[in-house]
Amino acid sequence: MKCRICGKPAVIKLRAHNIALCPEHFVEFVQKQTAKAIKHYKMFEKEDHIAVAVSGGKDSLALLDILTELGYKVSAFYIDLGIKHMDYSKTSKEKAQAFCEKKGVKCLVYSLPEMFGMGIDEAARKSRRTPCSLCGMTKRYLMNVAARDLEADVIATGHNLDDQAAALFANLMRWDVSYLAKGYPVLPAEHGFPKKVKPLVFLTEREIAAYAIVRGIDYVRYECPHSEGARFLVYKEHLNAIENMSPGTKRRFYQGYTENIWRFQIESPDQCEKKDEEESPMKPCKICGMPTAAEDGICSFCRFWRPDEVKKIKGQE
Amino acid sequence: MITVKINGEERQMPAKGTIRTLAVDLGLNPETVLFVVNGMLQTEDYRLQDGDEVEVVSVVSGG
Ligand SMILES: [Zn+2]
Ligand SMILES: [Zn+2]
Repeated sequence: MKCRICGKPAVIKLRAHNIALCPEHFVEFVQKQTAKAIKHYKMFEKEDHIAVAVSGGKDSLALLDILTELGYKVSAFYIDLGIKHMDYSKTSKEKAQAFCEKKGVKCLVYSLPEMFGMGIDEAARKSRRTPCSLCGMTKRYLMNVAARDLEADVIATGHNLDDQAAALFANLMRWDVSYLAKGYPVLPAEHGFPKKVKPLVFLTEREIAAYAIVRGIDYVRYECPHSEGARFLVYKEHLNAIENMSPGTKRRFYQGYTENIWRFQIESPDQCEKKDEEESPMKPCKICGMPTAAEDGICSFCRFWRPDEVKKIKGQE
Repeated sequence: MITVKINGEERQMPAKGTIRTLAVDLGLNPETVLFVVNGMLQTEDYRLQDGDEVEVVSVVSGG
């Protein structure tokens, strides 16, 4: 197979786009698709400062690489969950930090074991919560802290087309309308929290993995042992079976949804009534100062982790 | 027949076999894998040679 653009030997065929590309033109393709998504969904502008959440996996490291290559002003942060299984946290942190250093990007590390003396597994065991629910809450909070500490305008995460399409598929199957109203790749700044964006939504996992290989990005190949997303695996599998028969399906499915999302954002009479009663104003958390709607004025992060000193919640370079 | 190494394990294949035939043999959906042959990413029409070392990279991740 030959590259559609230059005729040199191709390294990948993209059936959804009906092209084969050489390494050079494939890299260009991936970067262009990312730039297109950023523009299409109005994610950010050239002068914005972007905080990239890096996990050591292929998606977030590819995202960091692409954004720096496109000339954006980028910083990174890594959340160390202290997962000991197969040295998951240790290895992924090393890969994330090594790549940031290679790219000359500042990376702040927020380490649960260092801040609170325990990782997510131990904390989950003690509180009898599932590691994934605790992890979700903790990561959402620390992401906002990282954006504040880095003085970033927007937080970017490595979610790709497969992640978004699988979540959409799963939530459609359950008619989870509250999800369907907010599955857009851009979440606007709200209640004092920064804007959050997913610039890789035009790219499949296969394209991103190929990009990481071609660019020589060293990423963690294995997964978080809990991987909440594992519940999406069956949806990914089915979508890929359809994609194999009809290339381009995943993209049409997700992009069509983003064009029709307003249909899910109309509130039912029921919801309008509830809203009038429930709307509680955001105020700064009594312990850490981050915005919270909790009635007792203590955010869910502080209620769980009980930082004895607010100074402790900080990233290390 | 030729002998190739798939993720470190030796496997016999008919001569003139391609990555596409290998993917079919292994029952893999081409949308979910990449093939790195002797360190280089290759398209599915690549004709495997005796002694090739193939890494099958699964691209599907949990979350
Ligand atoms: Zn080319
Ligand atoms: Zn708090």
